[in-house]
Amino acid sequence: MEALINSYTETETLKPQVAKISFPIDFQPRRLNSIVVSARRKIGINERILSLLNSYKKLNDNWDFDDALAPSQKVINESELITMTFQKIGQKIYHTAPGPNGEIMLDIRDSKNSKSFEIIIYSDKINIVFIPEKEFPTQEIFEFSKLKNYLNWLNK
Amino acid sequence: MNRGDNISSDELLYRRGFNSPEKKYLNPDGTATSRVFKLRPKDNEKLSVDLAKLTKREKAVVDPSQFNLFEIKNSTVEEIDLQTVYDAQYTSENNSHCLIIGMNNDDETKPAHLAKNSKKIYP
Repeated sequence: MEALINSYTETETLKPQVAKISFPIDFQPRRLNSIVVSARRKIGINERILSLLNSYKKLNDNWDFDDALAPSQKVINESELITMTFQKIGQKIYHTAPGPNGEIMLDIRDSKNSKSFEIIIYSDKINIVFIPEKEFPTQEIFEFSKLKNYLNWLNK
Repeated sequence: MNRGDNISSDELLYRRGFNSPEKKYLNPDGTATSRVFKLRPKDNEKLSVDLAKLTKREKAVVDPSQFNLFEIKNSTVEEIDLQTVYDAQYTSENNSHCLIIGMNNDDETKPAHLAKNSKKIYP
């Protein structure tokens, strides 16, 4: 009878059967009762901007009734990449807007809303414009490698 | 006033900015983005504005359901080395039309400055 009792009292240790977990830094798996479930992309601080960028895919030329060009897929992709990069480092983008030459502008402001910089993405170049609180704006070519410097300028 | 005449520093100017019914193309607080003052190829480096004293807000905006009207001082235009000249469009009966000259297509700083110093006035 000993063997029969043991078969009722011993419980099997359940282990989650997960063959592979692979996620980029902005994907967070959830654990529910030892079951690992894959999650959709984590809602981030720039979701509104990403949603607006997505809506620009529907723009056609002359979207402003004054011959404005629609942004190309390349411009939208570059804008999404920059937006996602800011999201990963926790920097909120204040706003975005399409421009008349097919460009997309990303507006990044400091916490006091006193100074800002704009990243303006064209199909063949990306400009950055620094807008201080009082002085006249300046511009240069945007470089990803200088991102830390840009944010230091904004938040110092 | 004749076409080509300089507009004096104390005048006010109107600039239209497109805004969809969803209100997505201006800043969330309703102010103009720099794109409102950005040149486009057909502008030939001359930005269209209206002289406030020669028009009305309702006329200058044309369609208030799709455009907003922004006001800017001509002294603000002049402080960044731009110039406003009278450019009446007699064919379209727009005798308030003016051109801001001195910008170029590659310049992002002047549109940013003009947007920052403008204010939405209508609707």
